[in-house]
Amino acid sequence: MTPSGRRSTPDGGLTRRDFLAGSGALFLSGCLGAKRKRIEGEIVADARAHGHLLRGPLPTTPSRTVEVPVVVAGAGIAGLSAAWRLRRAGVEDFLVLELESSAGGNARWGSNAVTEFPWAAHYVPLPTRESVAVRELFRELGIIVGTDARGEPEYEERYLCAAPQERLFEFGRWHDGLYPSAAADAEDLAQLRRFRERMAEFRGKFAIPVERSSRGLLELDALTMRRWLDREGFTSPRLRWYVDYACRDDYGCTIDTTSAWAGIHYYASRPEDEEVVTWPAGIGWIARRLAAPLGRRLVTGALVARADGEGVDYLDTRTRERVRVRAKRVILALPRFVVQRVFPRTADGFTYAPWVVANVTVDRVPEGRGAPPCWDNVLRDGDSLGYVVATHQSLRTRPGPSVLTWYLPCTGDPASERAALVARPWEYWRDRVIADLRPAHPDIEERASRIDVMLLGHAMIRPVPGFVWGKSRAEAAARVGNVHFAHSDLSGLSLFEEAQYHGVRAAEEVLRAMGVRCPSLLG
Amino acid sequence: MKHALLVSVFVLATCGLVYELIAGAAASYLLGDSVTQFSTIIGAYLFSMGIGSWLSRYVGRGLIARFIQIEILVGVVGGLSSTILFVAFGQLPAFRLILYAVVALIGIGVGMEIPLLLRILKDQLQFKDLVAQVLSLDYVGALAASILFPIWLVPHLGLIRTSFLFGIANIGVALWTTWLFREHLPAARFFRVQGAAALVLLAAGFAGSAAISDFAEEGLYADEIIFFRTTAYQKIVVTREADDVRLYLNGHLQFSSRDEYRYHEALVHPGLAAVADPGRVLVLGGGDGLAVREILKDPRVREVRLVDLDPEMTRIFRDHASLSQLNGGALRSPKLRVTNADAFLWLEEAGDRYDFVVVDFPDPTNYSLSKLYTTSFYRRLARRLAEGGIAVIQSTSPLFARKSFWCIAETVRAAGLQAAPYHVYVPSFGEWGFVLASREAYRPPERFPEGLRFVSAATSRSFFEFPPDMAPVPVEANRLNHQVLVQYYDSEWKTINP
Repeated sequence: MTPSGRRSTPDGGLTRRDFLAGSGALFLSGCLGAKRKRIEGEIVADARAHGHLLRGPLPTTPSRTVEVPVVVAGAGIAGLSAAWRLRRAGVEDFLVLELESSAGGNARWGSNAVTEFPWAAHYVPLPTRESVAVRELFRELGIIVGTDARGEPEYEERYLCAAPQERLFEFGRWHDGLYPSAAADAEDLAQLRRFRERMAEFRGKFAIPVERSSRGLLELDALTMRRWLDREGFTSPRLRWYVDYACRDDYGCTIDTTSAWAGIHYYASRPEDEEVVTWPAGIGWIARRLAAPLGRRLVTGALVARADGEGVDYLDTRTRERVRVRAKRVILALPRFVVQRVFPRTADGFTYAPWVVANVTVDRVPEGRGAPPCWDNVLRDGDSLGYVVATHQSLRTRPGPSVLTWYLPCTGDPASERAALVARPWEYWRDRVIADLRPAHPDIEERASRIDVMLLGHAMIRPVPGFVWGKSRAEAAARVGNVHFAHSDLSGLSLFEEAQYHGVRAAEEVLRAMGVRCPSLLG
Repeated sequence: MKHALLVSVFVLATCGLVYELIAGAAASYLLGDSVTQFSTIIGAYLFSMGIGSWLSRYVGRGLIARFIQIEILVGVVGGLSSTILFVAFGQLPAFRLILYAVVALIGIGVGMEIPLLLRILKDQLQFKDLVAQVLSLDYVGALAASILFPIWLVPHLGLIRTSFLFGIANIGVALWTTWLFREHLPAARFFRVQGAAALVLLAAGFAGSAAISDFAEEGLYADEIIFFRTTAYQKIVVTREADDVRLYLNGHLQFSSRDEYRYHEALVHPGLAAVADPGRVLVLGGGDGLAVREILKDPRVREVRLVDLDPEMTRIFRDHASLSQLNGGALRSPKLRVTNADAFLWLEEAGDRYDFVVVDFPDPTNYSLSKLYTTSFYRRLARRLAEGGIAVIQSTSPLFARKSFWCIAETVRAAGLQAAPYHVYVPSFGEWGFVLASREAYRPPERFPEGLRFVSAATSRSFFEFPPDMAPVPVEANRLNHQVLVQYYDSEWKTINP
């Protein structure tokens, strides 16, 4: 008797439903409307609604005053990290103010009956040697569980992004990996190889945090990534797509708007076989753990109206009461465009890419033709970055419902992109998401029951040429009297590690000013 | 009469295109690669229509009679086409040959229709009107079919009933024609009887389409199906041929009752008998109860916990007479507690420790299943092993999937446990392998329970010897973030079962 691969696939064969969905594309793509089922959803409210409070008539004098030694404005990763650093030094007396109803900022997350899911950042690459404070945090949170024989950290396997990690949809099917290797010719592959060699040469000179990078290659910050690719003779359209994808993914910019220094940083600051940690809630998992011990010290629904060297005024968005927080030290862990309003400083050169994030609730993870569903599922055509599967880290073995987090960086002129975002109704985004996913998943409309959308008007600082190593960024990080600043935009790169770096740095500035003696966690 | 015939043109055109779509859709469904299937089916069909058109010149006298006969033939073949294809796929070896024969036969018939109709109508219309009207209706009929097919026919009727329905329409045209030309048709009665017989056949097919689906399904299995159920998790099929009962999950053989004792004795006893006091035993997977049957042969076992995902599976192997006979009623044992849960999640939660654990999962054919063969899984398993406890893991075939087998052993070691790999011969599967995992080095037992047919103290020692063609190969451990096992398994079984 011939062996038959005993106990094989539980996914079984094609069902009639799958068949309909699959070959349907061939002749009924236009007719799907006829049996469209109702997909629910909404545009999830974000800070815009509160932000507009600032423009309306407001109480101009505080109705009460609280006093603390330190106040942190902003409970994104930077603010939470500042609080974490203060607590590690034994400073427990502080307040953290957050406009939203929960902490998180760009690490915010949501949840429904199926799973938790990210609303913004969803992973952190394994921290390099230079990311001292990140490694320290990861040890505390049980993400790093030990040290191996070579002295490298050992990670909790459950948090490492499970296989299979990435696939790319091109030519009607899914392929393994992110580089568009299908139909790549010898020249494409030669250029890819050469590109990787170039990046390997740069490795060691680019670091996370940015601050730890070598200052020898700063002229690259004057070029766009496209200029650099031209200059180096990287003409392969596949390679250019791959690099452009990286810029859109990490910076919300294209190769035409990303500085070459930042574009190269993406590849050269981490090892080539980079791994990441991720959770269903994205890095909301970390944010939640940083926020949990704060208890009542975290004040949500607090719109910071004004800051100065003696404290912060905030508006309680629930009671519309104005509260004065008198503090010896102030950490503004806010993006520069907000700092500009509450503590009049210039924000020249700080530009932000808007993003749209949609969370699509599905009755099961769509498969599509070719490579099996991965954590990150990227589409070669179109402007979106594809989607991430929120349940990917689940240990469950059978297919089940999930949430797909779909990302769209708006890479055009930020102001006009923002205006366009606000003008569009939910139905527009629903149709856009469906149209984007349908080529890869003709059954997406059948699978999806909800599409919730969040419009992030200022999602990411844009590392346009001249910004990362320009004057205004360097100046913006410097404290002004008792006011300290912390945000990833002070690095020019919207990364978890940078946000954490600035949070810890600002907290250590405060600790020194308060005379608390402790060794720096920044290495 | 002219209008009546033009209506027939429309109906025939719709039928003709539906047959073509059915053949294309069935071929895509059964063979995959819909672009290739549709292209070749359309090509073959159009070419056959060309042959039919050319052959129409040989029809001389008795034009109407030939036309009616062709309609009946096309109606019968077209009506039966999807049934023929589905059944042939399961039952007959030369599926593609049959597929193209059916396509050619229908194509030739349909190709003859229009030339014959043109000739029948030629005296009633001017040539330019004749061609214009007949051909335009032909194309409009095709449009109707191509829209109806995906939107309404396939979703609501399915392929089998759709083809019967259009076969009936085709026969309807034939019968109608006998009535239209009743004065010119000497043998009208003869044709009506033929048509009526065909109509009855197709109508019966339409009514019995559910049974046909089942039969077509059955064709995918060699033997008589004695149990069939689709659960939330899988399709369970049990077949019987003489005294051989076989269980298939999603079409994959799980055991044959002729030799499953070899598999299950070898799975359970080398490990179980080596545990000093195996009071508490855990079985992960194995909802068929056959491993539990073996475990209960050891009188030292006081309680058994069975964790299987599918409640239907454990239920039918407890309650279905001929299935519970296979496991000797093991699932009704008072020592047994059944939990229906996903094993990994379950292992993560509860806290009891076990002296002996049987890990009997499907082979790691995909990433979901391969999670159950990772260092993470074995670390959690290790936490559930009591002191001196042993776990045994079904580990696919060391002969056909040598790297996969040794990868599982390596993964057990990487999780900090000792691994003792062994193998046995099970005729239905071939050489099959297992890995014992424990904290202390494994020592083969001297004694086994009474009444075993395969495992004994003497033979079990040879299980642990690997001939050169199954000897260890260098492999990596399987981790959640690097699931090398899926790749090993995929490449190895592909070379055997392309």
